[in-house]
Parts: sequence; C-alpha cells; structure tokens
Amino acid sequence: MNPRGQWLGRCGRVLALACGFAALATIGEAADTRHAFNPPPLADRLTPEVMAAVYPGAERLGEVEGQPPSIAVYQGDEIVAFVFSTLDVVRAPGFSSYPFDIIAGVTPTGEITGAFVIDHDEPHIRSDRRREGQLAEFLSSHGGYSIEKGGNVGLIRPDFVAGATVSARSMRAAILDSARFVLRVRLGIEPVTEPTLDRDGFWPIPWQALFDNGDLAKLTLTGGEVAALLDENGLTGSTLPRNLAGPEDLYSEVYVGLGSVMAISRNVIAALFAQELIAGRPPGTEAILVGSNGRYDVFGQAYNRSAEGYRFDRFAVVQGDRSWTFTRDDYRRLGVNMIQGGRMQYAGLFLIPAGSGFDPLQPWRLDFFINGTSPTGAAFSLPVPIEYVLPESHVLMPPPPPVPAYVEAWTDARTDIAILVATLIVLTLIFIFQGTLARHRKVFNFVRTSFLLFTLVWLGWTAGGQLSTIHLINYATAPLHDFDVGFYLSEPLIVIIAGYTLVSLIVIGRGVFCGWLCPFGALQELLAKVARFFRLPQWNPTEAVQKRLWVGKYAAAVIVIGATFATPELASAAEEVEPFKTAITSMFARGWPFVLYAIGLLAFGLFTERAYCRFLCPLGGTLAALDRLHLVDVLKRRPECGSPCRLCENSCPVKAIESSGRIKMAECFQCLDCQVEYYDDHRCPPLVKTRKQLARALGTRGTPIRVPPLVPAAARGSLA
Amino acid sequence: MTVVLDTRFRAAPSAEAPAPEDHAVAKPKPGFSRRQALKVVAAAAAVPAAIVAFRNFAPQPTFHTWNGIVLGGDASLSLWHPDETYARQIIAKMLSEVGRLERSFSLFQPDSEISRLNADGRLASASGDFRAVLGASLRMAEESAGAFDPTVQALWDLNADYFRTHPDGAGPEAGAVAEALRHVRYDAIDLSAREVAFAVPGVAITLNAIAQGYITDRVTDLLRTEGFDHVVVELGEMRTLGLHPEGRLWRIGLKNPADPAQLSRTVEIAEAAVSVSGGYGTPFGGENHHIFDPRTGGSANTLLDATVIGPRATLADALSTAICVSGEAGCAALLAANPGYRAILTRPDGTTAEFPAA
Ligand code: SF4
Ligand code: SF4
Repeated sequence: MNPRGQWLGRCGRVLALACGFAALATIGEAADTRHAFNPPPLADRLTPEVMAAVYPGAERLGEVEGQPPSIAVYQGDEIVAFVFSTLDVVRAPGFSSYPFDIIAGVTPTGEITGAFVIDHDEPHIRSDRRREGQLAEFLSSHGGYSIEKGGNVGLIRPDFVAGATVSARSMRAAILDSARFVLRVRLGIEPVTEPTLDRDGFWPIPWQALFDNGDLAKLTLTGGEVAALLDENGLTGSTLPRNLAGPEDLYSEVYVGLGSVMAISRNVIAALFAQELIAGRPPGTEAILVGSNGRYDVFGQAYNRSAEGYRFDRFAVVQGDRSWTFTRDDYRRLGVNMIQGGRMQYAGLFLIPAGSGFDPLQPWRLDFFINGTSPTGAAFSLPVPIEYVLPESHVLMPPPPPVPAYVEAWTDARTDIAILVATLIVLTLIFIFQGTLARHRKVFNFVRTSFLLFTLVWLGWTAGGQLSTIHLINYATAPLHDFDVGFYLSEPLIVIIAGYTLVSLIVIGRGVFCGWLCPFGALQELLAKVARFFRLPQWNPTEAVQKRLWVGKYAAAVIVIGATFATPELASAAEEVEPFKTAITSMFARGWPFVLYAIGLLAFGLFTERAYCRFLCPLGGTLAALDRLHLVDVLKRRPECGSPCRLCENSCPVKAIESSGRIKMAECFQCLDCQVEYYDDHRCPPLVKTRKQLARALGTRGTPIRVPPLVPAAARGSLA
Repeated sequence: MTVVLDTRFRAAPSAEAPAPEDHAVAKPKPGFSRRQALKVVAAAAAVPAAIVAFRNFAPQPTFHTWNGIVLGGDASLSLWHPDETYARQIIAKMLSEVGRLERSFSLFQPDSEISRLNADGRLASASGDFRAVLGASLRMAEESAGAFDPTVQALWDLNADYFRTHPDGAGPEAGAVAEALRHVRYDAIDLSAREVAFAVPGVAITLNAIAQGYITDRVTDLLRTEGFDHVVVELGEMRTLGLHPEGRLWRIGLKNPADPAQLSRTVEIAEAAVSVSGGYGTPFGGENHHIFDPRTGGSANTLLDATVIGPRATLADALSTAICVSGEAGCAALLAANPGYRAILTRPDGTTAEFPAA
C-alpha cells in the first residue's frame, strides 16, 4: 500500500470507526445505543476477574495509551501484552442490534493471550448458562492464537458455541481485528501482505530442536567418510591440507543457518544480536551463519592472504544457478565464547548484499569444498552440499483471506444438506421403482403423504428450501450480470434443489419438482387430502374452460419475469403473486394482506385441488413451459385409456388427463395416482377383466392374482 | 392348463367393470344440498382459523442483524424474519453483492475500478454499476452547479498529506489549495464512450459521497424481492423497508453534530432513505474536514450537517453532500429539482431548518 493508501486506510478506519462515520444512531430509542457510545474507561473495566482470563499473573499494568486505547502489561520492565476492548477499537456488534464488549490481550508478537466477555446481548446466549459457558470456553480457546499466522494455528470451529455461531464468529473477528489495530498503533507494525521473512521474531529454541526444526543444518565427515568420497571420485591417494587421521576421527563438522533471522542466530550466538553485526548494511542484506569444528574446518586460512584475494576458498552458497563466495569484507567473526555452549570452534556470519538475487525464503545450499591435490598433481575442490530450507516458522504469512460468506453457509448447513441429499435419493428411488410402489395402494399412499409432509414441514418450514421464481430469474440472468458467484451459492439447499429440478425437468418433466419438492404445492395437496377426507364438494372447470385457465400461470410467469427488467419495486410487487414467502419462508408471519391472499388461495384449493398450481403459479408456469423438452414418459397408459375407460381421467387430482386419455405432461404433477389405478386389478377395467378370465380359467373364483404390467411405457402418445 | 393372457384389450369395459368405489372427486351435482353448503362454509372458515393458530405456534419473527464494515464505515443489515437460517443465507447473499460493489467503488482496494481509474486516468470498460454511479454524480454536479463534485479527491489527498505531517496545523497553504483546485473539475470526466477517462491529467475522483447510497439501494431492492417486509439497511447510508414490525413508523435517531455521542432528534420515516452529511464525521483538524467546497477548496462550514430523507439512498446521499456544501441558500433549488426529498439542516449556531418548510 502506498503512503496515501495507508493514511487513507487509517484515517478511514480509525477515525470512521472511533468517531462514527454514519451519523445515524441504531434504530429505536436513544437508550438502545448506550453500550455503543458511553462505555466506562478501559481501566475501570479491568477487574481482577477480567485480568485472570485475559492475562493471568500480570505483574504490572501501564496507563491507557493510544488511539484506539490499550493498556500495556509489564513483566519486569518488558511489555508482554497489550490489553484492549473490542468495543473501544472496532465497536463490532454481534448478531443482535446490541454491540458487545470483549476485553482481550495480545502479545507484542501477535498472539492472543485470552479474552473475556464483559457485556453482550446475544439473544441466544443470554440467560442460558450452558451457552454462556460454551462462549467463554470458545473465546479462551484463542489463547496463543496468532493474529499473523492465523491460518497455521489449528482453527477452532466457531460452531462450538451452540446456537450462537454468528455471534461467536463476529466476536472472534472483532478480537482479531482489534488486536491487529492495537499492535499497529502501539508498535507501528504494518501487517504483512505477502510471505515475509520474520527477521525480528524471537523465541528460545533448545540446541537439539534447532536441528530438528531445520533452523540449522549440520554436516559431519569422519576421516573414513572423506576417504570413501575421494575413492568414489577417483581421487584415491590425494594429498589433503590435513591428514585424515583415523577413519572414526572427526575430519570436518559444518553448521549452516540463515543468520539474519533473529530466532535462529540469537539461539546460536549467545552474546549479541546478529543484527548488530549486520548493522550499517542496507536493509535486505542477508547473513549466512556458518560454524565449523574438526581437523579441516570450513574457514581455512585463504581469507587472510592477499594473494588469494582474501577469499574463503572452502565453501560457496548456491541458490538455483547462482552462487556466492565470500571475502574478508563480507565476514563477521564470531568468537567461540559467543557461541552457545562453545559448540563451534570457528563461526561467523557471511553477508550477502541486498539486491544480489538471493531469496532467503527459497531453498539454497552451502557447498563445502574438500580441497586437495590428486596423485597426478592436479588441484581439486570436491564439493559436499549441505541443503538448507528455511523452516516455515520464520516466515510471516499474510492473514488468510476471509472465508467468503457463502462458504460458511455451506459448512453451517452441512446437516441440512445431508438430509436433503438423502431425501433426493429417496425421491429418485421412488421414481425408479414407481411401478412396484404403485401396485400397493396403501403403501404408496403412505409413502406419498409422508413425503409431502416432510417436504412441507422440514424442507419448507424448517430448512427454508422453497424454490421460487426469483431464484430461477437470478440463475437465468446470471450471464447478464457480473454478480459475485457467492450471490448464487449462498443458499445451499436452493442450489441443490434447483439443480435436481433442472435435471428432472429435462428427464421426466416439471412434475417431479411440483409434485414432490415444492413445499407450497405439498401444503395444497395435503389440504386437499383433508378436504377429501371430509368429502367436501369439489369443483373443476370443464375441459375447455380449464384449457383457458391454464394460460393464467403462463401469463403470471411472463409478468413476473418481465417486471424484473422494470423497476425493483415492480419486480417485488409482481413476485407477490407467489404466496411462498408468506406461507412457507415466513410461516405466515407477515402483514395481513399477504396472509389473507395466501389463505384465499389455500381455501380455494380445498374445493379445486391445487387451484393455485394449475392456474396461477408463475414458477409452475415457467417449469410447465420448459416441460416440452422432457425426454422420457414414465407414466404408463393402456389402449383403453380415454376410450372407453375414464377411470384415470377422473382420479387425476389436477385433471391433467384429457378426455382422449392422453396425459398433458405440462400439467401433470407426477403424483402417480393414475399409476396406482393402472396397476389395480380391482379397478382398472381391462385388468379386472383379465383377473376374472384368469380366475375362471384356474377355477379359483375370487382369488386375487398378480397381473404383470400389460403394456410398455408410453404406448399412447403423451407428449403435449 | 395354459393360460393365455390377452394383452390387447379391445373390448369395451364389460358390465362387470366396477364403478369406482372410492371416487375422490365428487361428480358435479345439480345444486347444493344444505349439508354441503354448511360444509363449504365450515371449511372456508377453518382455513383462516387454522392459519391464525399456526401463526401463534410457529417461530416468531425477530430482527436478524449483521454488523461489519463496508467502504471503511460501520455497516449493518437488520432483517425481520422468523427463520434465522433463511435470514442468514440472504445476508450472506447480500454480502456477496456488497463485496462485488466494493470491488468497484472502494478507494481502499488498489485494484478496484475507482482506484484503477484514478491511477491510470482511464478505465477501459467500466461496469454498469460504475457508470451508473458516475453518471448520477455528474447529474448532481450539474444540478448543484458544482457544489457536489466527484473530483474533490485532489483536495482530500492534499489535506490528508498536510494533516499527517502537521496534526495541529491550520490547513494547507492557499497556493497548494489553488494548485489542487486545478484538478477539481467534474467536466474533465468523459463518460460518453465505453471507456471512462479524465480529459485532464491528475484528476482523481471519490465516489464516497454516493457509492454508499448506491450499495444501500442495491441491497435494499434485492431484500425486498427476497420477501423481507421490515428491513433496515445501513451500508454507509440508511434505508428502510416497510414499517417497523410494531406497525408504527421507524424512529431514526440523528446525532447531534456538535456532540456526536448524543442524539439531537428523532425523525420518523416509513419506507425511506436517510442520509446525513456533516463535517464531524471525519475531521482532519481545526475547521477542516472531509466535506470540501469545490469552489473554494476549503471545507464546507456553512452548515454543521444536512440530513436528506427521500425514497432512494443514492440520491439522498448525493443531495445531502450537495446541500452541505451549497448551504441553506442552495437547498430549496436542489430539493425542487428532486421532488420527494426533504432536508433538515443544522446551522453552525445549532438551530435547525427544514426544507421544504413544514
Ligand atoms: S405449480 Fe407452483 S406452487 Fe404448485 S407445486 Fe409447482 S411450483 Fe409449487
Ligand atoms: S394422476 Fe397421473 S396424470 Fe394426473 S397428475 Fe398424477 S401422475 Fe399426472
């Protein structure tokens, strides 16, 4: 970010947040905003109870300092943490109209020390002891959570706090945001935006752990190993600067590390900071820490001789196809007394100038040269590589990009998604085995009624999975807008149902959705079942009138779709043709005009089954229009259907069967009632006849006999 | 004995074909018996009764509120709905839309459309949203005779730089202001072609005085289509849908510009947008704040704040800034040009004036 951007950023955020950018108070009375505007001073809120959660065992507290305000926690003379309140810093409110106040601490290196909820008004948590406890536990689980390396530390899933996931999540976000803010103000640290070498971070690392972590790399060569190396390279019998001594004796020991990282160098060099040795060099100068023991050390003597250009002749640093050798000027000697435990007899830092192309974040190696003269008298330099990969713990990672809201919607809804997928599998099985199912009238009626109840109560009223035209329009116009993909994916159940509906529409027809997955459709059909139970009189238009009434839903579809291209007010008004929002999504908790409209439609449906579906529904109209494309006709017909038999036609609850016996697929809801008749050898006249013939032939009068399906699918055309 | 199944029934249904025993659909009968009429009435009455009962039994609606930061300012969405899952999903959906619009209008994002336009002086293919907001800005600039000007970014930069180095200073020197003013000229914006470009090098724009209103409108419109009847959207600007769930008007507290920790008054609105512009929002120091008078180069101080109430947040947002700059004198003309909008002004002495006069 350029300086102006930074300033704008800070001006925009600090001033806007602290002073209040929008000049509007929260809705409602002024008293509602008391939390937001007049918190008591930070120091007054730091009771011992709070401090025990935020920074147990703090020795001494400093003054309130800085804007946003924070209080330093001292251990001796050293600042070990800053304590702040989210309310002071980001005024981040939770998932209610009241802001919350959390006091938390952060170490100067960016780790949260603890958190304590001072005040909140989350309706889910308040007055629920169990949840209060869970929230406290959730927040305290952030102790040690690093604001810089957030992604590297195990993330505790926010749904740990039952029923208040959003609050918990926004509380965590507020803590982390506030901590970043406070550190930036108190330490002047800019957050990293790309992986950056952590030069200044320091924490004690035991000697052995330096090697386990890879902070230091080490090469050990015994006399025997060197002899073997020479043999391998055809240099047997060469003359070396130092003789090999015994095969088990140490010949060389070399240590390598990235010395410009304080956490590495300070743990090796006891006496002073490596930075002091690098001081005076431009920023970006890297220092390679090299140490050595043994008869043949890595330093040699060449660097003392002008004839050899003061050059170190026993090693080079290599990265990719570049290599660096060093002279006396690049060398910072480290005496054996400066090394932890005197573990390296010779040690030093070798500086690589800034801008020379060395990238400390990438792997590199140190080539350790065994110099000598071969028996033929030729000088050689045999490289032994020591690979070095900087451990990730010395790289500051930029904060992970925030998870898009829709991703959280999918993870939050994973139970619902699983239930829905199971439901759709069941529905698919129903359609695959419909022939078998339809032969058992009682079983079938039970399955269908249960399914409709589930669609209404779970899918519609509980999970909010009512597909509506607005979704179809959004999807259909997606290519015209540059909407964010999250816009379409934020309702997981709708996405899945829309996908299933599309596939089933192409394969079978609109009836799969309308007959089984539409909660409002289910509500109408269940009410119609009640009406049938009470034998309410039914009214159905004549075939000719019905044909004209059917047009209504296409007209509604055209109006609703057309209105979306007009003003937003018109679009939402047209949308209200659909009573889904009232009856399903809002569970009738809407204004009376909407509720009365829905009641009217449902009451009409008592006397004319699914009247709304058949004559008015814009979603049904859209699907019916697209139904023309379907590939398979699953509903079976006989030649007698329509003429002379009218049984199915009468039993079709929505009168989708024409008097010719043909099924008008665009009007069919795949309720499968006609298939139950089709297989019923006590009702379907042709079957009854066969059954009786069979019975006579077998001489077992009246014994029911299972009759196989007689005519293959779609013996009669049914394409509308 | 072999049984040959006749698979092709040609015969008409024989007399023994049973009459459908359990016929679901009653045959239309001539006239209604009294019994049937009673049934119909009872059924028609049962539906509303059942639904009223259901309403009491079903989850009750409450406000579901999201809070966060949009375009550098506090933001919130409050939706009145019985189904929290649904409300949250719709909120996530709205945030995707907000995120998309921020990628057009945010000065904090280096690759937003506005940042790229400011950096390069041109924007090869501006999005529809960007053109819409810029177009509305230019219309307001014309209407307000330059009191509203999207190119005041040069003044913002000048003041930001100055007060960073002189936190207690009195403000940039006149020479520097005059220099910056050379880049404050909305007529340098060329919106006629597909490409948006500045005719004068060094011009930079800010859409802060209007983009928040636009985002507010977008989200409010989408929420209405999603079927929310009682909504308060605060995305830099405030807009409400419907009435308060209690059936009364929304009461919106207005901050006291002299003491932003206090409320000075409450306005009651039905479905409307409320936009407040005032210098106290982001003070630089002394008399200087973020609302610049493009005609003098200084901060506009003839009013403490201007509140505009009207149907759409985009226009209310632009109007409140324009009125804040042009003062009481320009207010009447601006409102006359935009019927449906009213304004409440706070004068420097703390008294208020309402337009159009009540
Ligand atoms: S016609 Fe409409 S209401 Fe009926 S089932 Fe289909 S989508 Fe649902
Ligand atoms: S009875 Fe048959 S034709 Fe009528 S809606 Fe049901 S499945 Fe379709």
